[in-house]
Amino acid sequence: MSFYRFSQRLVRTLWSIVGPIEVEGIDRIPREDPFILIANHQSALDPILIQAICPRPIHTMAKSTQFSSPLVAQIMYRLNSFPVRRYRIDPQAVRHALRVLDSDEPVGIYIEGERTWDGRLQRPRLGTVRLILKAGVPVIPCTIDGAYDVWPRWDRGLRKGPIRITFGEPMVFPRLDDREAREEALPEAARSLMARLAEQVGEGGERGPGVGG
Amino acid sequence: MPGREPLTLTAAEWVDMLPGIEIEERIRRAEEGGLPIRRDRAVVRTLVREEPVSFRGIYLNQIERLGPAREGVLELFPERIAFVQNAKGTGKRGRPMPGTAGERADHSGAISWEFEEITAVQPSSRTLQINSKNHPLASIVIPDGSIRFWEELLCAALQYFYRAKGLGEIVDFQPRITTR
Repeated sequence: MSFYRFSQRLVRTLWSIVGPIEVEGIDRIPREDPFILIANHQSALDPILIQAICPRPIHTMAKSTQFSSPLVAQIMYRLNSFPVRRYRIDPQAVRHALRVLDSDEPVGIYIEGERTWDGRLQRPRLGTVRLILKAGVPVIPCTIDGAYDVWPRWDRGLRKGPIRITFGEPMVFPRLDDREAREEALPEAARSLMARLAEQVGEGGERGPGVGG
Repeated sequence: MPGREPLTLTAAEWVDMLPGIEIEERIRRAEEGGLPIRRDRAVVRTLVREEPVSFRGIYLNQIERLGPAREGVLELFPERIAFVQNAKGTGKRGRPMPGTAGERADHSGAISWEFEEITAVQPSSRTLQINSKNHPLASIVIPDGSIRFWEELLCAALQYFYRAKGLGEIVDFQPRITTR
Protein backbone atom coordinates (compact mmCIF):
# COMPACT_ATOMS: atom_id res chain seq x y z
CA MET A 1 0.00 0.00 0.00
CA SER A 2 1.37 3.43 -0.92
CA PHE A 3 1.95 6.12 1.70
CA TYR A 4 -0.87 8.10 0.09
CA ARG A 5 -3.40 5.25 0.44
CA PHE A 6 -2.19 4.50 3.97
CA SER A 7 -2.69 8.18 4.91
CA GLN A 8 -6.18 8.16 3.44
CA ARG A 9 -7.18 5.21 5.63
CA LEU A 10 -5.50 6.69 8.69
CA VAL A 11 -7.27 10.04 8.32
CA ARG A 12 -10.66 8.44 7.73
CA THR A 13 -10.24 6.26 10.82
CA LEU A 14 -8.97 9.02 13.10
CA TRP A 15 -11.47 11.58 11.87
CA SER A 16 -14.40 9.42 12.98
CA ILE A 17 -13.45 10.51 16.53
CA VAL A 18 -13.69 14.23 15.72
CA GLY A 19 -16.95 14.24 13.85
CA PRO A 20 -18.95 12.96 10.92
CA ILE A 21 -18.07 13.72 7.31
CA GLU A 22 -20.93 13.81 4.86
CA VAL A 23 -19.82 13.28 1.26
CA GLU A 24 -21.84 14.04 -1.82
CA GLY A 25 -21.09 13.50 -5.51
CA ILE A 26 -18.16 11.15 -5.18
CA ASP A 27 -19.40 9.41 -8.33
CA ARG A 28 -18.67 12.64 -10.24
CA ILE A 29 -14.94 12.10 -9.93
CA PRO A 30 -13.61 10.87 -13.29
CA ARG A 31 -12.21 7.37 -12.91
CA GLU A 32 -9.36 7.63 -15.39
CA ASP A 33 -9.14 10.98 -17.14
CA PRO A 34 -7.27 14.01 -15.85
CA PHE A 35 -9.18 16.78 -14.13
CA ILE A 36 -8.61 19.85 -12.00
CA LEU A 37 -10.26 19.79 -8.61
CA ILE A 38 -11.05 23.34 -7.54
CA ALA A 39 -11.90 23.78 -3.87
CA ASN A 40 -12.74 26.50 -1.39
CA HIS A 41 -10.36 26.86 1.56
CA GLN A 42 -11.90 27.06 5.01
CA SER A 43 -9.24 25.43 7.13
CA ALA A 44 -5.87 23.70 7.22
CA LEU A 45 -7.92 20.51 7.38
CA ASP A 46 -9.26 20.90 3.84
CA PRO A 47 -6.43 19.21 1.91
CA ILE A 48 -6.18 16.44 4.50
CA LEU A 49 -9.88 15.62 4.36
CA ILE A 50 -10.45 16.12 0.64
CA GLN A 51 -7.46 13.95 -0.22
CA ALA A 52 -8.62 11.34 2.28
CA ILE A 53 -12.06 11.20 0.68
CA CYS A 54 -11.32 11.64 -3.03
CA PRO A 55 -10.88 8.19 -4.61
CA ARG A 56 -8.25 9.42 -7.11
CA PRO A 57 -4.88 10.50 -5.67
CA ILE A 58 -4.70 14.25 -6.27
CA HIS A 59 -1.57 16.32 -6.86
CA THR A 60 -2.22 19.37 -4.74
CA MET A 61 -0.61 22.76 -5.17
CA ALA A 62 0.63 23.96 -1.76
CA LYS A 63 2.43 27.10 -0.64
CA SER A 64 6.20 26.75 -0.71
CA THR A 65 6.64 27.62 2.98
CA GLN A 66 5.03 24.29 3.86
CA PHE A 67 8.07 22.54 2.41
CA SER A 68 10.62 24.32 4.60
CA SER A 69 10.92 21.52 7.14
CA PRO A 70 12.67 18.51 5.54
CA LEU A 71 10.43 16.04 7.39
CA VAL A 72 7.18 17.80 6.47
CA ALA A 73 8.45 18.21 2.90
CA GLN A 74 8.99 14.46 2.59
CA ILE A 75 5.43 13.84 3.80
CA MET A 76 4.10 16.49 1.42
CA TYR A 77 5.91 14.95 -1.57
CA ARG A 78 4.52 11.51 -0.73
CA LEU A 79 1.04 13.04 -0.56
CA ASN A 80 1.58 14.33 -4.12
CA SER A 81 1.86 17.98 -3.07
CA PHE A 82 4.00 20.36 -5.07
CA PRO A 83 5.11 23.86 -4.06
CA VAL A 84 4.03 27.21 -5.40
CA ARG A 85 5.77 30.45 -4.45
CA ARG A 86 2.98 32.88 -3.74
CA TYR A 87 5.11 35.98 -3.31
CA ARG A 88 5.94 36.12 -7.01
CA ILE A 89 4.64 34.94 -10.37
CA ASP A 90 5.58 31.27 -10.41
CA PRO A 91 5.47 29.68 -13.89
CA GLN A 92 7.14 26.48 -12.68
CA ALA A 93 4.12 25.62 -10.52
CA VAL A 94 1.92 25.96 -13.61
CA ARG A 95 4.35 23.89 -15.71
CA HIS A 96 4.32 21.12 -13.13
CA ALA A 97 0.51 21.14 -12.91
CA LEU A 98 0.24 20.85 -16.70
CA ARG A 99 2.78 18.01 -16.70
CA VAL A 100 0.72 16.13 -14.11
CA LEU A 101 -2.45 16.61 -16.18
CA ASP A 102 -0.59 15.43 -19.31
CA SER A 103 0.12 12.20 -17.49
CA ASP A 104 -3.66 11.78 -16.96
CA GLU A 105 -3.56 12.51 -13.25
CA PRO A 106 -5.67 15.06 -11.35
CA VAL A 107 -4.49 18.35 -9.89
CA GLY A 108 -6.06 20.02 -6.86
CA ILE A 109 -5.97 23.78 -6.32
CA TYR A 110 -7.51 26.01 -3.68
CA ILE A 111 -8.76 28.75 -5.94
CA GLU A 112 -8.88 31.47 -3.26
CA GLY A 113 -5.13 31.03 -2.72
CA GLU A 114 -5.36 31.08 1.07
CA ARG A 115 -7.61 30.10 3.93
CA THR A 116 -10.56 32.32 4.69
CA TRP A 117 -10.33 34.47 7.82
CA ASP A 118 -14.08 34.81 8.41
CA GLY A 119 -15.60 31.70 6.84
CA ARG A 120 -16.76 33.42 3.67
CA LEU A 121 -15.64 32.58 0.16
CA GLN A 122 -12.93 34.94 -1.07
CA ARG A 123 -12.11 36.18 -4.53
CA PRO A 124 -10.52 33.68 -6.93
CA ARG A 125 -6.85 33.78 -7.87
CA LEU A 126 -6.87 34.52 -11.56
CA GLY A 127 -3.66 32.54 -12.14
CA THR A 128 -5.63 29.41 -11.29
CA VAL A 129 -8.35 30.33 -13.76
CA ARG A 130 -5.68 30.93 -16.43
CA LEU A 131 -4.32 27.44 -15.74
CA ILE A 132 -7.81 25.96 -16.14
CA LEU A 133 -8.26 27.71 -19.49
CA LYS A 134 -4.82 26.58 -20.64
CA ALA A 135 -5.33 22.97 -19.58
CA GLY A 136 -8.81 22.44 -21.06
CA VAL A 137 -9.58 19.45 -18.82
CA PRO A 138 -12.81 19.03 -16.81
CA VAL A 139 -13.02 20.95 -13.56
CA ILE A 140 -14.56 19.33 -10.51
CA PRO A 141 -15.89 22.07 -8.19
CA CYS A 142 -15.37 20.76 -4.67
CA THR A 143 -16.64 22.47 -1.57
CA ILE A 144 -15.90 21.78 2.04
CA ASP A 145 -18.31 23.17 4.59
CA GLY A 146 -18.01 23.05 8.38
CA ALA A 147 -14.19 22.89 8.42
CA TYR A 148 -14.09 26.56 9.38
CA ASP A 149 -16.15 25.85 12.50
CA VAL A 150 -13.93 22.91 13.38
CA TRP A 151 -10.61 24.71 12.93
CA PRO A 152 -10.63 28.33 11.76
CA ARG A 153 -7.42 29.95 10.65
CA TRP A 154 -7.18 32.17 13.68
CA ASP A 155 -7.57 29.40 16.27
CA ARG A 156 -5.03 26.92 17.54
CA GLY A 157 -7.29 24.08 18.57
CA LEU A 158 -9.76 21.71 16.93
CA ARG A 159 -13.41 21.54 17.88
CA LYS A 160 -15.74 18.68 17.14
CA GLY A 161 -18.23 19.21 14.39
CA PRO A 162 -19.76 17.90 11.20
CA ILE A 163 -18.10 18.49 7.84
CA ARG A 164 -19.67 18.21 4.44
CA ILE A 165 -17.64 17.66 1.27
CA THR A 166 -19.40 18.08 -2.05
CA PHE A 167 -17.99 17.15 -5.43
CA GLY A 168 -20.05 19.06 -7.97
CA GLU A 169 -20.94 18.28 -11.56
CA PRO A 170 -17.87 18.66 -13.77
CA MET A 171 -17.49 22.03 -15.48
CA VAL A 172 -15.99 22.20 -18.93
CA PHE A 173 -13.97 25.15 -20.16
CA PRO A 174 -12.47 25.25 -23.65
CA ARG A 175 -8.72 24.87 -23.96
CA LEU A 176 -7.42 28.25 -25.06
CA ASP A 177 -3.83 28.24 -26.28
CA ASP A 178 -3.98 31.84 -27.39
CA ARG A 179 -3.09 34.20 -24.57
CA GLU A 180 -5.45 36.96 -25.70
CA ALA A 181 -8.35 34.52 -25.93
CA ARG A 182 -7.56 33.29 -22.41
CA GLU A 183 -7.52 36.81 -21.02
CA GLU A 184 -10.84 37.54 -22.70
CA ALA A 185 -12.44 34.40 -21.28
CA LEU A 186 -10.95 34.94 -17.82
CA PRO A 187 -13.62 37.08 -16.08
CA GLU A 188 -16.54 34.89 -17.09
CA ALA A 189 -14.70 31.68 -16.24
CA ALA A 190 -13.77 33.09 -12.82
CA ARG A 191 -17.32 34.25 -12.20
CA SER A 192 -18.89 30.91 -13.14
CA LEU A 193 -16.41 28.91 -11.05
CA MET A 194 -17.01 31.00 -7.95
CA ALA A 195 -20.77 31.03 -8.53
CA ARG A 196 -20.71 27.24 -8.57
CA LEU A 197 -18.65 27.04 -5.37
CA ALA A 198 -20.95 29.58 -3.70
CA GLU A 199 -24.00 27.61 -4.75
CA GLN A 200 -22.54 24.34 -3.44
CA VAL A 201 -21.53 25.83 -0.12
CA GLY A 202 -24.84 27.64 0.20
CA GLU A 203 -23.41 31.14 0.09
CA GLY A 204 -24.85 33.98 -1.96
CA GLY A 205 -23.32 37.21 -3.18
CA GLU A 206 -20.77 38.29 -5.71
CA ARG A 207 -17.12 37.41 -5.25
CA GLY A 208 -15.73 40.22 -7.37
CA PRO A 209 -13.66 39.89 -10.48
CA GLY A 210 -10.81 37.96 -8.92
CA VAL A 211 -7.23 38.72 -8.09
CA GLY A 212 -3.99 38.02 -9.87
CA GLY A 213 -1.64 35.11 -9.64
CA MET B 1 -21.96 41.70 30.04
CA PRO B 2 -23.90 40.75 33.17
CA GLY B 3 -27.65 41.01 32.70
CA ARG B 4 -27.47 41.05 28.94
CA GLU B 5 -28.49 38.30 26.55
CA PRO B 6 -25.47 36.68 24.89
CA LEU B 7 -25.19 37.54 21.22
CA THR B 8 -24.34 34.70 18.87
CA LEU B 9 -23.19 35.59 15.37
CA THR B 10 -21.07 33.96 12.72
CA ALA B 11 -17.44 35.07 12.35
CA ALA B 12 -18.38 36.88 9.14
CA GLU B 13 -21.13 38.80 10.95
CA TRP B 14 -18.71 39.81 13.70
CA VAL B 15 -16.20 40.94 11.09
CA ASP B 16 -18.88 43.09 9.44
CA MET B 17 -19.39 44.87 12.77
CA LEU B 18 -15.73 45.86 13.10
CA PRO B 19 -14.83 49.48 12.37
CA GLY B 20 -13.01 50.18 9.11
CA ILE B 21 -9.26 50.81 8.90
CA GLU B 22 -9.84 54.53 8.14
CA ILE B 23 -6.34 54.98 6.82
CA GLU B 24 -6.69 58.69 6.06
CA GLU B 25 -7.52 59.44 9.68
CA ARG B 26 -4.68 57.23 10.92
CA ILE B 27 -2.22 58.98 8.60
CA ARG B 28 -3.44 62.42 9.68
CA ARG B 29 -3.06 61.55 13.36
CA ALA B 30 0.38 60.04 12.77
CA GLU B 31 1.62 63.07 10.85
CA GLU B 32 0.29 65.48 13.48
CA GLY B 33 2.02 63.60 16.24
CA GLY B 34 5.20 62.91 14.25
CA LEU B 35 4.71 59.21 14.92
CA PRO B 36 4.37 56.06 12.84
CA ILE B 37 0.86 54.99 11.83
CA ARG B 38 1.43 51.78 13.73
CA ARG B 39 4.27 50.28 15.72
CA ASP B 40 4.55 46.73 17.00
CA ARG B 41 7.14 44.31 18.21
CA ALA B 42 8.09 42.02 15.32
CA VAL B 43 10.26 39.06 14.39
CA VAL B 44 11.62 39.20 10.85
CA ARG B 45 13.29 36.53 8.72
CA THR B 46 14.50 37.29 5.23
CA LEU B 47 15.10 35.10 2.20
CA VAL B 48 18.63 33.75 2.02
CA ARG B 49 18.22 31.67 -1.14
CA GLU B 50 15.72 29.76 -3.23
CA GLU B 51 16.45 26.07 -3.45
CA PRO B 52 15.35 23.60 -6.15
CA VAL B 53 13.32 20.66 -4.89
CA SER B 54 12.71 17.33 -6.63
CA PHE B 55 10.92 14.15 -5.76
CA ARG B 56 11.66 10.78 -7.34
CA GLY B 57 13.77 12.44 -9.98
CA ILE B 58 11.14 14.99 -11.00
CA TYR B 59 11.93 18.65 -10.54
CA LEU B 60 9.01 20.25 -8.74
CA ASN B 61 9.93 23.86 -8.08
CA GLN B 62 12.06 26.07 -5.90
CA ILE B 63 11.34 26.84 -2.28
CA GLU B 64 12.57 29.67 -0.13
CA ARG B 65 15.12 29.32 2.65
CA LEU B 66 14.88 32.00 5.28
CA GLY B 67 17.66 33.36 7.46
CA PRO B 68 17.71 33.61 11.26
CA ALA B 69 14.90 35.33 13.14
CA ARG B 70 15.68 38.91 14.14
CA GLU B 71 13.64 40.63 16.82
CA GLY B 72 12.82 44.29 16.71
CA VAL B 73 10.07 46.71 15.88
CA LEU B 74 7.96 47.13 12.78
CA GLU B 75 6.77 50.64 12.00
CA LEU B 76 4.32 51.75 9.36
CA PHE B 77 4.67 55.25 7.91
CA PRO B 78 2.62 56.94 5.16
CA GLU B 79 5.23 56.14 2.48
CA ARG B 80 7.20 53.19 3.85
CA ILE B 81 7.26 50.33 6.31
CA ALA B 82 10.38 49.86 8.41
CA PHE B 83 11.92 47.25 10.68
CA VAL B 84 14.47 48.21 13.31
CA GLN B 85 16.32 45.35 14.90
CA ASN B 86 16.90 45.22 18.63
CA ALA B 87 20.49 45.51 19.74
CA LYS B 88 22.01 42.07 20.25
CA GLY B 89 20.89 40.31 23.37
CA THR B 90 18.01 42.64 24.06
CA GLY B 91 15.31 40.98 22.01
CA LYS B 92 13.50 38.84 24.51
CA ARG B 93 9.74 39.00 24.53
CA GLY B 94 8.26 41.24 27.16
CA ARG B 95 11.08 43.77 27.03
CA PRO B 96 10.38 47.34 25.99
CA MET B 97 10.64 48.29 22.32
CA PRO B 98 13.78 49.91 20.90
CA GLY B 99 13.68 53.64 21.38
CA THR B 100 11.98 53.31 24.73
CA ALA B 101 13.67 53.20 28.10
CA GLY B 102 15.69 50.07 28.62
CA GLU B 103 15.94 48.98 25.00
CA ARG B 104 18.48 49.86 22.31
CA ALA B 105 17.95 49.80 18.57
CA ASP B 106 20.53 48.34 16.19
CA HIS B 107 20.22 50.41 13.01
CA SER B 108 22.66 48.18 11.12
CA GLY B 109 19.86 45.59 11.06
CA ALA B 110 17.23 48.04 9.83
CA ILE B 111 15.14 47.47 6.70
CA SER B 112 13.03 50.16 5.09
CA TRP B 113 10.59 49.14 2.40
CA GLU B 114 9.63 52.22 0.40
CA PHE B 115 6.09 51.76 -0.89
CA GLU B 116 7.11 52.26 -4.52
CA GLU B 117 9.51 49.31 -4.21
CA ILE B 118 7.09 46.82 -2.65
CA THR B 119 6.03 44.19 -5.19
CA ALA B 120 3.82 41.89 -3.09
CA VAL B 121 2.08 41.74 0.28
CA GLN B 122 0.41 38.64 1.58
CA PRO B 123 -0.32 36.69 4.75
CA SER B 124 1.19 33.22 4.96
CA SER B 125 0.06 31.13 7.93
CA ARG B 126 0.97 33.32 10.93
CA THR B 127 3.33 35.60 9.04
CA LEU B 128 3.08 38.64 6.85
CA GLN B 129 5.23 38.41 3.74
CA ILE B 130 6.59 41.46 1.96
CA ASN B 131 8.47 41.22 -1.30
CA SER B 132 10.20 44.19 -2.85
CA LYS B 133 12.56 45.22 -5.62
CA ASN B 134 15.42 46.16 -3.33
CA HIS B 135 15.13 43.72 -0.45
CA PRO B 136 14.76 39.96 -0.28
CA LEU B 137 11.42 38.45 0.69
CA ALA B 138 10.67 39.17 4.34
CA SER B 139 8.55 36.96 6.55
CA ILE B 140 7.24 38.87 9.56
CA VAL B 141 5.64 37.65 12.77
CA ILE B 142 3.89 40.08 15.11
CA PRO B 143 4.07 38.27 18.46
CA ASP B 144 1.67 40.61 20.27
CA GLY B 145 -0.61 41.57 17.39
CA SER B 146 -2.61 40.39 14.43
CA ILE B 147 -1.09 39.61 11.05
CA ARG B 148 -4.52 40.08 9.50
CA PHE B 149 -4.74 43.60 10.92
CA TRP B 150 -1.22 44.47 9.76
CA GLU B 151 -1.98 43.14 6.28
CA GLU B 152 -5.15 45.24 6.05
CA LEU B 153 -3.37 48.30 7.39
CA LEU B 154 -0.40 47.97 5.04
CA CYS B 155 -2.62 47.29 2.02
CA ALA B 156 -4.78 50.32 2.88
CA ALA B 157 -1.70 52.52 3.26
CA LEU B 158 -0.31 51.25 -0.06
CA GLN B 159 -3.64 51.88 -1.76
CA TYR B 160 -3.76 55.41 -0.34
CA PHE B 161 -0.16 56.06 -1.42
CA TYR B 162 -0.78 54.80 -4.98
CA ARG B 163 -3.89 56.98 -5.32
CA ALA B 164 -2.15 60.05 -3.91
CA LYS B 165 0.80 59.61 -6.27
CA GLY B 166 -1.42 58.95 -9.29
CA LEU B 167 0.00 55.44 -9.69
CA GLY B 168 -3.44 53.87 -10.19
CA GLU B 169 -5.83 51.73 -8.22
CA ILE B 170 -4.26 48.58 -6.78
CA VAL B 171 -6.30 45.54 -7.76
CA ASP B 172 -3.91 42.79 -6.62
CA PHE B 173 -1.42 42.64 -3.78
CA GLN B 174 -0.08 39.18 -4.61
CA PRO B 175 1.70 37.49 -6.31
CA ARG B 176 2.59 41.01 -7.38
CA ILE B 177 1.05 44.41 -6.93
CA THR B 178 -0.86 45.35 -10.05
CA THR B 179 -2.93 48.42 -10.78
CA ARG B 180 -5.58 49.49 -13.24
